[in-house]
Amino acid sequence: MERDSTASIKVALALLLAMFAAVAYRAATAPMTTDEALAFNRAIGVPAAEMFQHYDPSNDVLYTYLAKGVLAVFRLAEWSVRLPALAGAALYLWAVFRLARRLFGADLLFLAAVTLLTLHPLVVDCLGRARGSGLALALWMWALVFLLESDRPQKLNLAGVALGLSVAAHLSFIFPALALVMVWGWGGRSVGQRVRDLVIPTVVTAVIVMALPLSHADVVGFPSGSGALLRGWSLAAIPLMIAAAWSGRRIGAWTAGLAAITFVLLVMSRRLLGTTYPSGASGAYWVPLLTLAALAVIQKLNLQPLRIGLLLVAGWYAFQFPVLSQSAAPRDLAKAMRKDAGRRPVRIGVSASVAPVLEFYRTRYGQWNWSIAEGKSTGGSFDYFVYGPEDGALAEGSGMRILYKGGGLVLAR
Amino acid sequence: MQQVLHVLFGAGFTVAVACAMGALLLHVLSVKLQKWETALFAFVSGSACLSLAVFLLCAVGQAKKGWFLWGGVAVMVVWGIVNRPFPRGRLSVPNVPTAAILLTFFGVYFLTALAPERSPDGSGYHLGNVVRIWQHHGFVWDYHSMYAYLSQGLEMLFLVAFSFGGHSAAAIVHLAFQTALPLLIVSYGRRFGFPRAGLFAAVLVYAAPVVGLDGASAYNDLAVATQTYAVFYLLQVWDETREHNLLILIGLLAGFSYALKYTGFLALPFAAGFVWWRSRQWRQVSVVALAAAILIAPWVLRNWIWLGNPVAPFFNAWFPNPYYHAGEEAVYLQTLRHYSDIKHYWQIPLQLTLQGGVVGGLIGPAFLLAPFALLDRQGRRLLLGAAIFAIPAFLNTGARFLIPSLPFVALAMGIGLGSSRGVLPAVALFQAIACWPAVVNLYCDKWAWRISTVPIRAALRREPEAEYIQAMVGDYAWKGPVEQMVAAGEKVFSFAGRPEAYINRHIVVGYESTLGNLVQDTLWAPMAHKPARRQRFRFLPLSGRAVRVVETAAADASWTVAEMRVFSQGRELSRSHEWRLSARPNGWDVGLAFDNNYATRWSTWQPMRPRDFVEIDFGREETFDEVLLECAHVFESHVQVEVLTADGRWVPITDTSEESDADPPPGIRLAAVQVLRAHGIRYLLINTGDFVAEDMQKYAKFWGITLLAEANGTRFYRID
Repeated sequence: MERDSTASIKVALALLLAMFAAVAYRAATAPMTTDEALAFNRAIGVPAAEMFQHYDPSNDVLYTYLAKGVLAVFRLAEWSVRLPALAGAALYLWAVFRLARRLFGADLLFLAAVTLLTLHPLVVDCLGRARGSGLALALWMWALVFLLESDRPQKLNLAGVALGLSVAAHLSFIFPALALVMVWGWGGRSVGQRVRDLVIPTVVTAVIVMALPLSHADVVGFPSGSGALLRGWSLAAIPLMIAAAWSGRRIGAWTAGLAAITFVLLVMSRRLLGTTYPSGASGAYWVPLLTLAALAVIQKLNLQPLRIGLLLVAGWYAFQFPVLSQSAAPRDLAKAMRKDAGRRPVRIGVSASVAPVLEFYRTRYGQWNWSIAEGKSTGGSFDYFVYGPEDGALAEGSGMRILYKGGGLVLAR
Repeated sequence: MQQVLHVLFGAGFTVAVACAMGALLLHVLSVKLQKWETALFAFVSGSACLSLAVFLLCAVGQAKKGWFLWGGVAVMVVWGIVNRPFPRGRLSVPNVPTAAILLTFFGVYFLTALAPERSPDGSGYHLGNVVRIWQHHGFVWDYHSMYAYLSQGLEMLFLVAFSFGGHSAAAIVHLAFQTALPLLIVSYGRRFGFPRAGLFAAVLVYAAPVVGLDGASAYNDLAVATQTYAVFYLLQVWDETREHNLLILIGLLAGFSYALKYTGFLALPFAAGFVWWRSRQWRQVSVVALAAAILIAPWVLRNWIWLGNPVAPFFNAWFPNPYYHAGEEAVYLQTLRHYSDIKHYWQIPLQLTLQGGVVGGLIGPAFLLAPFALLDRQGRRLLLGAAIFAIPAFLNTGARFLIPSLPFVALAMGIGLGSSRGVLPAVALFQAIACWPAVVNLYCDKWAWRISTVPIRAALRREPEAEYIQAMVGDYAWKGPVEQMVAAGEKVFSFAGRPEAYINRHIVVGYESTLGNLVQDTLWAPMAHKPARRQRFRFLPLSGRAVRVVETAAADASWTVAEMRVFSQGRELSRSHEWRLSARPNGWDVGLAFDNNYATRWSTWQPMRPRDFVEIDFGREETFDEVLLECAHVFESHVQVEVLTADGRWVPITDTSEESDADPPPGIRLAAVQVLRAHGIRYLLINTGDFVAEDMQKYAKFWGITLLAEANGTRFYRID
């Protein structure tokens, strides 16, 4: 590595700190999203016996364990459920810094790497969200860092543990994790050594964490996603990876290999097991893969305009940063209903998309008097109706009294 | 509390006598073993000696407390005189966490074993056999159940413990084998240079839920596992030292494995094969075989003399006998090896390691890592041993049939995983936590066979024994009514097995014996197979000394004959005492086709095959022109009539029959229960799910039975 203190490093550190602060702020203030609420309702918030007896794809096992641990200490709130994600965010930012320093020194490319890897909207979406994808991404990045740093058994063992935990944090990371093991073991090492130093710690860690929660998984459900793996803009990844492979940079060859193997594994899994392709946060590992590949190519080409171009892209990422744009509507709606219904038993017909969130807030506020009927936002005899963005128009002109309206949600009585 | 002391004395005394006998044996053989090994092998080899001694007492009807007590004391005195005390071991520091885990689990297992016996087979036939032998001071030759024919090497030890401490004492004797197993594994690891793998394997095996409950019950699987592992252990020692006398010890232990349970027979070919492989000397192999014969022969001879089948209740097709049908054996074995509720084979590893509901128990999630056992050459050799001792698991889907192979798998895993830092302690700790009863309850199937709670109050007899057993063993409710209403010597019939270790009456179970089969078939007759089919074979009058009906078809169904009649000019030939009847198969049942009882029938009890027959030898020349078979509909059956001519040839006469249906005379239900009475069965225990339950409840009068009591889904009838 180069000098410890350059302008780029200082800027990067400042950026990382600001990023962490922003993620923490968002974790503390943003209302629960539907998939966060689903994970809570189906895994984090249910008794261990129930969690072990019925596997639900919303159960990001490692995250569930950590969140349960946090909730054993702190009261239930958005921030407490997200605390493990915040820890994951810190780990990720640290891993990015370390990786970028190792691969790109301390110049502009280093700064570009840090900004691109941290400000990408998909990554931002993962970090600080009460799901395991952010944690999985962070742990996978650490595995990459350890493997790039050294061939010493201790480091490899740590990489294995990180990989195992990554898979346990979000099952879709099994593909990049396998890919990383294969790429690392590609040359120069005996099979025995590869297995002993990396595979065993990986598998043992994953089994220890996941065996019991997945004990009743009939068909392992991967987080949702569908459609084609390569289409539109994503087709550009192919020449990029070819270029990265020929960049002569170790990271270029690795990322190309990782992307290719991950792609093959995803296709095989779909063909053989019928799993869907991961999308959104479940496919967040593509961000470091593609970014690092691009950086390797640019480093090889060594053209200043390209480096500046990268910073512009980073700026565009930053522009999309959603720290203040989050709507507090679900929580405000829940509060409005709590205020109106008080402690009397009420029956609530709720749109399917809003029901998980409302269930979370029922638990959060201890409103056990709420009887929630999912997918019943029309018809039936209910005391309240909660409409989601998909059927909010129904509330208009229905003659019902609107108690709350905002963020696409409507509470009517 | 006094009861607890009796239990502890019974078990402790038995184990102590076994240890003393073993120590004497080791002394006589002058076998050189290391510190811990001496104590462990004294127990396992002494158990074999004690078992043999008790067998001999049972054979001569002298299985009495006095013999056990004074004989045992005498052995201990002799041991005290001639032998050195057991060497003492010391826990080195790395052992402490392992010892803590093993001791914690031991506490759970000990309390479970100390509580009244509640396991299905333990309270059923294992201790049922023991109680019966104890009451008669020896083997009961006129009692017939397939479970009584099994080798009962461990039951011989149970008998000693039971005579002092009752049922729980027997379970604690089994616990002693369970406890010896991890110690042997640890000891093996130390001796052969992989102590960490040994410690790891000990935890993996000992914590396994199925090992826990099995070893704490009056079963025999842990005894088999310990003995087979001891055989393997000594073979490695012999390979290192080439001490000749070790081969004798190996043979004895291999033989005792068979005596404990038939599946333990594998220890003998394993040992013989190993010795031949390493020495290429048949003489050495013969030493092993001859020593094994000492413990195998008593059981083989007992069954051969008693039943005509040395390996009863199996191989009845090779050794036909009137006590257990070959066909019923096939059905029984098929049931054992059939997985129900399994859609894909990949479910089996999950069932075995995590769920346990379908395979009757689980071995713990750490065994999911078993593929890593393949990493090391030594591990792969151990896996070969595991594969051999896992063979019974192909014949029985129960997870407990894998127990003898677990030490090998766990050791191989320990060696394979041991090369990665920190993995062994992590996995061992994971197994220990995941197998802790309260934790297992969280994830395993509801019906997985395991220790779900630790019965401390029951173990200490703070909770009355009867209350505890009643809560755990539903049929225990019948102990009082049955023992009150059924006179000693009278029999009760049941389609299902009952806890005969607790109910002190002779219960004939439908699937356990030929008599049970007959009774079951007879009771089913009114609903399932009324002999409504008439097959009439007419031909020109002819004279012959014998006639027979011969099956010419092959099919999965059984061929049955309820009645066979021979006519001459429309008049039935009266059945005479001079007639000699025979049949193949099941010739001893042939009378059922000539008893004028429509509820009974002769049956092949197995898929029909060409040349199966029912034959009448008239004892003199008879003239006849018609043979009539009354039987149930079996469409695959095709029969021909053959006659024995004067020159001793069987001549086929016809295979064309006039077939008609006719209701058998009324009163078939009464006819059925008459058969039961004739066999000394005066009572019935019928589950509400049994085939005849509803009919019996509706038409009790027609059956000639009276309902005496009803509880827990079972009705208790008296045959009037």
